[in-house]
Amino acid sequence: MPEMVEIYSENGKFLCTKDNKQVHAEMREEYFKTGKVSIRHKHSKVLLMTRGGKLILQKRSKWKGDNPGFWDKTVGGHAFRHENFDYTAVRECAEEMRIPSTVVNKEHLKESLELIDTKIMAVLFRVELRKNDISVRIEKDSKVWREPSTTAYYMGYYDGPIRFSLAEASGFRISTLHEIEKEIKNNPDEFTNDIIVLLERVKKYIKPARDIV
Amino acid sequence: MTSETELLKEKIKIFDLTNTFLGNPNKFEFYKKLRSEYRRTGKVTKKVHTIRLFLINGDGCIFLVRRSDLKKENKWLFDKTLSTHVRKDETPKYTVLRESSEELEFPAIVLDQEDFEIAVKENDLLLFGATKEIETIENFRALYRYRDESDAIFPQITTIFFGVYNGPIRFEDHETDLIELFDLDELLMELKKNPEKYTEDLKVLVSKYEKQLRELISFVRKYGKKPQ
Repeated sequence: MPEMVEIYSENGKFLCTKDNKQVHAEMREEYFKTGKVSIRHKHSKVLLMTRGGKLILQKRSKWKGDNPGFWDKTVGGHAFRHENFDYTAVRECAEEMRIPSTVVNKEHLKESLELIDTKIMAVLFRVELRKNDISVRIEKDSKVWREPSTTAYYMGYYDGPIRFSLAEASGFRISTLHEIEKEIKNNPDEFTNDIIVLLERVKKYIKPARDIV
Repeated sequence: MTSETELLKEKIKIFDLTNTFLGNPNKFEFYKKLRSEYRRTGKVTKKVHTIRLFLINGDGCIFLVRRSDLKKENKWLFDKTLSTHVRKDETPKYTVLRESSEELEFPAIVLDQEDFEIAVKENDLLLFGATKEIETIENFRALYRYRDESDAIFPQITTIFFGVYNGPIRFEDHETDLIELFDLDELLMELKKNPEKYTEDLKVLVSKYEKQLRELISFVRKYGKKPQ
């Protein structure tokens, strides 16, 4: 079944809904013709950490068409028709890692973490909404294009099990921010631009759950 | 997870080089003495019993783990899915169940060949891992690379297991910081291209069991019940 996504203009006006694959092909074509893309869709990007403050990164499947085998945020994906950003984040967690999750307001994070067992459910909170977020797509033949979207960034706490969905991920790691930053410095080509940008923007939220005030 | 205090109390099975059972010393103390004997004489006179498990998923890819810096030996190197010592009063089959539940937090069962094949065909293996014993090697040469870059070769009795599992795993706070799925052909190429990233153990085992791994992978790909 086609995955329908909502398409918006550069200034946020709703245009239509279209099949995600078709939109991607059109965006890619426009980028290679003109050097830019004039339409947007909606996207949610999630970076999970453990209660100890270690980050959970996903290695994108080596069989993916773009950014194959790169270390990336924990999960992320496009918002389908009629989905809000929160729902997309929850759906992506369920689809890609088979984990249940819920989104709470930042001001309720501390008490939510006291209530919810994060070995069973991930607790997400929205950090930022970026109107002009860019995902850099590096294809298997090294062609590069830039896909714009309106993106909600989420952080979350999770300590439970992870299930691999081979179509999406071929690996997971649990590392400190320091370890990841060191590796990005030494081997930048092994990480997506998404995770590099995201880490910069959410850094202040990366901390053990006990340090949340 | 096994606590540090429990690990310090861990008692293992040891044998002489002719496989005569010698007793159940504390693992930590035993290795201190073994390493010292190796340094003095260049060889050792006792050996442990271990298990090694290669786990694959329903797509026929092998789970490899990267040993975290909590490990004294072979840290940051990719290794087979699981390995550990057979403890006092354990059989290797029980050791596989214990290690699967402690290190990757999934339930495993050990089956004979016939039941193993039925499990792979009839069950999507989301709720348990089906494993089978391949063989016991009485004089496996295990290479240990320590933090100070020194090496030691210790003989071991080791029992090899293969398994199939599609369900969730959990590895935080354990001796692994990264888990990755490898296609066997991709792994064979990688071992040639970047040998420094992999344990000697893995290289030896993949080379020794390539044919059996390939057979299991094609069986799983052909007959395995796919999870939803």
